[in-house]
Amino acid sequence: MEDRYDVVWPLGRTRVEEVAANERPLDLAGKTIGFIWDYLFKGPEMFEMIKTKLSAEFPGVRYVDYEVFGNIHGSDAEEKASLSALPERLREHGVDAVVLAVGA
Amino acid sequence: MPAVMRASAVVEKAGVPSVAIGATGFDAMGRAIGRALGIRHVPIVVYPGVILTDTSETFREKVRDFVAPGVARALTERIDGGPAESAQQEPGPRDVVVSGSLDDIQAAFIERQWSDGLPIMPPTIERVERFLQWTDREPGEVIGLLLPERREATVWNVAVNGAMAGCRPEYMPVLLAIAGCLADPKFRIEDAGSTPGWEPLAVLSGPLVEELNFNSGTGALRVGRQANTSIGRFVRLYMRNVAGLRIPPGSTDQGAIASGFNVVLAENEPATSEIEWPTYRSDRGYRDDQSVISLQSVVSTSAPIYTGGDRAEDHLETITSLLVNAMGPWAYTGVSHQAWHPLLVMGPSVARALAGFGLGKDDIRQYLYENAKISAKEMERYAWQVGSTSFNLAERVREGLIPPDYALSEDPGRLVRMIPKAEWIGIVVAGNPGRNQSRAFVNNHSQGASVTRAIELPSAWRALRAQAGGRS
Repeated sequence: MEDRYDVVWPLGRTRVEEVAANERPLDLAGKTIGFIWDYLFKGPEMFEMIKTKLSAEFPGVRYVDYEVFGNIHGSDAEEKASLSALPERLREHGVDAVVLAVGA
Repeated sequence: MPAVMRASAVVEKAGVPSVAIGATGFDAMGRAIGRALGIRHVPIVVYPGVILTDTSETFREKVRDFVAPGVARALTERIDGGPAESAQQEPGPRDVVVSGSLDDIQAAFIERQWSDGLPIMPPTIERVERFLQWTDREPGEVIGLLLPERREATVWNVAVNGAMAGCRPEYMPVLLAIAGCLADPKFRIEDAGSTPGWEPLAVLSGPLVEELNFNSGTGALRVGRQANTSIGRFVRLYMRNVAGLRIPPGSTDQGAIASGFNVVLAENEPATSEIEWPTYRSDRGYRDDQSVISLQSVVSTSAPIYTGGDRAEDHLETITSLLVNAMGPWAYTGVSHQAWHPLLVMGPSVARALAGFGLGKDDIRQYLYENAKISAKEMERYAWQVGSTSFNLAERVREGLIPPDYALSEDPGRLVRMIPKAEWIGIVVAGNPGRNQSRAFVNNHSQGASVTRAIELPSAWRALRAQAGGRS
């Protein structure tokens, strides 16, 4: 007779704090878009092309460039400083929506 | 991708909608991280393909045709918040999740991605409780939250995974110290699924090396000794199950090629003491009557470093040369992140020879710090190829992020230091005492930075050891 085993779960409970989804602007005309970069994979070139597309579709759309927000993937100190300053920078510049790149 | 999602969570918490961009294959990783950070609603626009192997023209076409329209859509579309997944659906620690034969258990654990692919010891409640006898800590104690899945690391699930990995119950204090290292924010487990594919290496220093029968001699990093091997396996299994770092069909471990788990490296204390060098734990600020475990990432290993000669320099020049080869231009990441923890595992005979020339560990560190160099051009070119497309030494000096000596001239062929600080170099004596070999291990900058925990023994350690007949 083969031994039988009753075994327990090897994982741990997840602790997720849900963040409420923010309303997306249905029209970007006159809105301010922030670009946040991890300093990888040609982000600035990508951002410029996204700006061209958005400006063509939405008159009066404005931009806040990545330099304002700092590197979100640098040294521990750089990353911490950039992330902790983000909410204030977003408020300061009246940012309505953000584009983050480049994950790979 | 993890950094992008972490920043996205900060933006969303600040009340601003966001959209993330990731290349093919990383969108699934981004979604998994997004779920754990509570921002599963954040849209991810995919760049189809691999950015750096696309020509500049193809890159521009793909951004124009896919990424830019995708961003425009994602910024203006209503999103589906959807119902949150309930944590209550997850089993409790003592709930039986599978019942069956040994084969049934193996099959179920593999199917549910709870196994590393090797057979596991079935984690029955009785087996787990045998591990818990070897700690004074409560089973429900939360050691920390491990990203990317943001799961609780607990004393209980340390015991479960230790049992599964084939550890002996008396290894429990070591396993708990390792879990403490994994949960240390300085270790950055949230980046353990990054593409370099780094693997933790646990270094054990102290009386437990002998007491628990670790191998610190010939084949120190070979599988084959239960203590070194099963605890090494535990590290990866725990990262897989509790942090949630899984290769496909999972999505959170994107190590491009990566490597298998490392067995525990145990310090050869007699060889270290004989030459009156400080122990590894003493280097890290601990007392010699303590046993400590350190965890650090390893992303590459040197060729075997055989050294000999009549002068200290004969050894040091060769060690430097092979260390430089092992680090290569990847060292730019250490300069960029200002974090770098190369580890030199030195054979006992080499350590004895260098001590005979009057050198201590600090002298060796200083030599390596001063002499491990690479051309600025090679560093910058490689940085671009990795993806750090804006990395430039002179600019980083101008911004005050790195010391001025990285840009003393504009000559691209100028040699620059690969190791930002001498004190960041670890040195451990271990390996075959009958040979003159050392080996260098390169870490992944701030990801998997070296962290250390003292191993806390239970108050009944001696009695439990006596009961077990002192065997290990």
